[in-house]
Amino acid sequence: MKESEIVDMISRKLAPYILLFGLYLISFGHLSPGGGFQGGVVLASAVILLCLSKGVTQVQKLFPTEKISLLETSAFFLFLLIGIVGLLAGKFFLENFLPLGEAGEVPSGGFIFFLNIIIGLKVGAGISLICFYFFREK
Amino acid sequence: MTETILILLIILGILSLEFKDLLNAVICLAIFSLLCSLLFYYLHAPDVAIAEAAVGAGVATVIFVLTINKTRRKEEVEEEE
Amino acid sequence: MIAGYLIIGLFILGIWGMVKKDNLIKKVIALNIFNSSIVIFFIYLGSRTGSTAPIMERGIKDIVDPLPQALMLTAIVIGISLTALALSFIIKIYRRHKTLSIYKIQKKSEHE
Repeated sequence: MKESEIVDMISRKLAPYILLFGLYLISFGHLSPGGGFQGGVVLASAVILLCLSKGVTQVQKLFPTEKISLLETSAFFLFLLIGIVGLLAGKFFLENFLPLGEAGEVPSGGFIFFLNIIIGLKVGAGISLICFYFFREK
Repeated sequence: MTETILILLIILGILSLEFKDLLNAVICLAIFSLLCSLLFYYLHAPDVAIAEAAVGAGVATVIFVLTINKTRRKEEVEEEE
Repeated sequence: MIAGYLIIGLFILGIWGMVKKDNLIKKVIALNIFNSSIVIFFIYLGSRTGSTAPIMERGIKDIVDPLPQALMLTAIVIGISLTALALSFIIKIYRRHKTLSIYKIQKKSEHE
């Protein structure tokens, strides 16, 4: 692939802000538009942007395929674990077990915040993996 | 407003199905997704608008372009016998 | 009222592309248009019940129906997975037959 100076520069400067925006969408998902899936896709799009400019072998030194795959599978078990903690607290499966805060603030959602973080990591890892395999396919 | 965006969407859909160059068709599909997300925002669905903008204009376009890179770019002329 | 007919036109455009187009990637593009038309239809039906986005704040009333929005979020997720799967199949088909035209693939497989 031919190297382009402009694409290289812009993507290196832009990728950290895209990652930050993805984290914002995930962590404020229960108060404003956004949520786990949307934030995860935005996280993955930052990784794809780096792949487009630097090449996939460089990016895989930063995000190794094995670790991303491990994250993608272990996030599912973390999700189940949070559901079972609700069961252990004497309530139903996937029921809130944390104290609720003031309406309109971040802790007002109880455990929804943690569920959003787990879903965001899983979706980001999954879509990054799909794009890694599409890039590497010769 | 809704009708205007829908007419633009139909025009972009026809364009992306009729281009012989597949790369042009995929770029038209990305603009189609962006207009879709504008329409969702106008119809009071900001959640769906963010998802459509991130998925349709970001990830789907990259996957399509990579596939075209690995296969061929021009649509073949069908030869009826 | 006119918007409903326009959405049905988009729906028919998607079906026509999936049936009539010869190239495999064009078929996947038509599938995407088809998917989007269904999402637009549901969001349009849900948006007629109110005039504010369904985001919880103090003193907010007359919100639109949030249930179709949640359903269509799932539909978008399924759409992107379907696109990725279809495109990976198309790469495999191209390696085997060296063409993307469904007509030529059919003719070739009749010879074998």
